[in-house]
Amino acid sequence: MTHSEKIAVVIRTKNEAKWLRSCLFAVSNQDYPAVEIVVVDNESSDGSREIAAGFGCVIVDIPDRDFNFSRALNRGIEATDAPLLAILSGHCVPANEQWLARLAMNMREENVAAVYGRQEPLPDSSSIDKRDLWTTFGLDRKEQKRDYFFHNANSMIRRSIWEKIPFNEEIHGVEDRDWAKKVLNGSNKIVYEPGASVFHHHGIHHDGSLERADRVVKVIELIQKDLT
Amino acid sequence: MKIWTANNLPEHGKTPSLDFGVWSDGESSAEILQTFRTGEPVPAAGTCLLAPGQSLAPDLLSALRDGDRDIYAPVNGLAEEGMAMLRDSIGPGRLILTFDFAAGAVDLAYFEQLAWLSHQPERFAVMTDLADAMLPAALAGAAAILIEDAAGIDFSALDRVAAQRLSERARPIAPAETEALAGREACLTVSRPLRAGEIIDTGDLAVAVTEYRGLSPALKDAVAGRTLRYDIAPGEALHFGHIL
Repeated sequence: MTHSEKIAVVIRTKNEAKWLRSCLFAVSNQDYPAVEIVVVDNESSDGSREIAAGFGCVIVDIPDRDFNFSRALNRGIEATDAPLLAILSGHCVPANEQWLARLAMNMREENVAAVYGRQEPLPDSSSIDKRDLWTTFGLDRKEQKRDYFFHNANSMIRRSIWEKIPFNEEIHGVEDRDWAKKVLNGSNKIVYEPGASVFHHHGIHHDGSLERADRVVKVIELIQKDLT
Repeated sequence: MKIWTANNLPEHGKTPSLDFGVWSDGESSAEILQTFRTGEPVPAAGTCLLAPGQSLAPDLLSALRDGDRDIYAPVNGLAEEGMAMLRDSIGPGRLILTFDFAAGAVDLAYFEQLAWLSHQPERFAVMTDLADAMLPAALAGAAAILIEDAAGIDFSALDRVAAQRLSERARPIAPAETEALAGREACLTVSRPLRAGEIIDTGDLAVAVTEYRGLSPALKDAVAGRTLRYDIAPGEALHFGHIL
């Protein structure tokens, strides 16, 4: 990989106006030179779409009737030809201008299929979210060959692998771990890169939402049994 | 990496990283390379060497375009016009920009030449008998080294460099980078306490070494004029999460 290889940043949004401007300001000020931003918007009514247009993003609309998390990502990736694809939530804000380069530097190894970065809380994140983020996303880089934990709020994948294994549109959420388990086939690895950090206000457990936890657990149980 | 050299190199032949090639069975490398410097195009060992100052007549260009040989073209011999004609006719796939370093010195000008070559769309080669010049060329990504007289050259260092290139391993981290990677490089902070909702003025910005890796001082102009989402104190790293 060269430093001029194009990277597309694919961002999913649904009423993310509160964070999207900060997110896009950060993405637009990365020190990586070749960046295309694709925003996949799911019927936002709070001005998210207009914010994205103001930053010159490619906008892909996905209506409610077609939406699931996997499909939104697949449609966004189809809208670009970039060989490296960073995936970012519209409410996540890269910490500094090195975020994208820190993700990409791990892709110089051919057998790195994907990278995911650190997620940090903000000052007004709940204590539950702070605890969970600090516990989950540590300070040491990790290379995973069997552990399929992977998180699309802040990640990068290789297009050549996605073309063979797109995100599973049959499941609703947790598409990242489902994809990672399929990709880790013995020769590939997934890297956790703490230097590529984003702020994620409500964390990965959505302030302890039991409904969400139930949904996540059901999908993970299927993934564990290779039933997805 | 290809090493074009003298007719017989039984002590080297081929290593996992270096592929030694012989220009032809009948002539020595020295003769061929002298021809390269002074004469007409030389077809040799499945390649074609263009001479500096070569007249690129239409029939020659057609022959080069229609052939399947790699074409070694002198970057410090062909005029810009000639190079443009070659690029238009051949394309980057078979064209190898060749830098004749016969009488040069390994100095800044040489490194600048390598930097330029490494950023061209074509592959590049360096013609030299100096082992000290071969290593930087290999590090810069040369596709080939052209050697007149390989006698006495120890290729082991070149082999190691080429092996590292082929391995595609992530580069090792230099000691000088360690501090930066640990988040201890200078970044933007503020010169006075600022509250959420305040607009950042250029005069409010300062640079400090902080535990947390915030924004580069190079972003000072981009950040000035933006509104703060959270309070920030002097000495605290300013990051994108602070900014609305």
